[in-house]
Amino acid sequence: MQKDIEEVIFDENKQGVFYKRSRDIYDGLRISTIKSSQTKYGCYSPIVAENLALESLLKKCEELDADAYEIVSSGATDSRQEYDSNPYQGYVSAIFYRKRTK
Amino acid sequence: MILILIKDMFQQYSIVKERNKFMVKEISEIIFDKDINGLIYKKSKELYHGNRISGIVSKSLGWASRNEAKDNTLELLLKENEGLDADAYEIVSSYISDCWQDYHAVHIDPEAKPYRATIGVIFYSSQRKSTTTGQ
Repeated sequence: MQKDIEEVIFDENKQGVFYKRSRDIYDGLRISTIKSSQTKYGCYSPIVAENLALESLLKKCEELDADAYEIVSSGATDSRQEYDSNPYQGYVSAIFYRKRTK
Repeated sequence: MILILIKDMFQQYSIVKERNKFMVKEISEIIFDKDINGLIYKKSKELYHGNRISGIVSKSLGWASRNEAKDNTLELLLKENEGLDADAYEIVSSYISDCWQDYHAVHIDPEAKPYRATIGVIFYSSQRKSTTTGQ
């Protein structure tokens, strides 16, 4: 089973504090370089493609025992082939964090 | 004679002032070292002591040549964010997309800019205090 991993956002206005989506403060340590992932096959929708890439990236999170990630770039590319029913490839890059042990 | 000297000094000052206008302030590239869980200077590999002061700052611009696309975009990005007073930056994303429809136009129109470079960086400062957990 996949562990709970939360997305965090850096708040540059509040002395570099990290926030969770719920607006709670996250206190963790950076444990990775920039990790990237992309879909292996084309997809019918750019949003689905991006989500698939994220899912694959979060599997890497488990290997590192991370509990939070910050997305640094994400998107989907279009093959622009007229008869391609699955033209979208998703990609995501993120930095992983782990809660401080007290 | 004195007048010539003053004129000469003024010219020198103008040249330096003009050059500084386009110069990017001293700023170094740093990378995250996973073995030590910390940031190091890319060139010297020495440990960087500083705090993260920005989110992901990105810039995307079209250029006529692939070679200059990344360096020039990065230089402009750093120049635009001088106000942050950062002394280091980490590149988090960097790529060039080739707008192939315009590719042929480059041969006809030298002003065409088919190579779009997109660069994202995080800024750090060893001066500004921060309670960041980013490192």
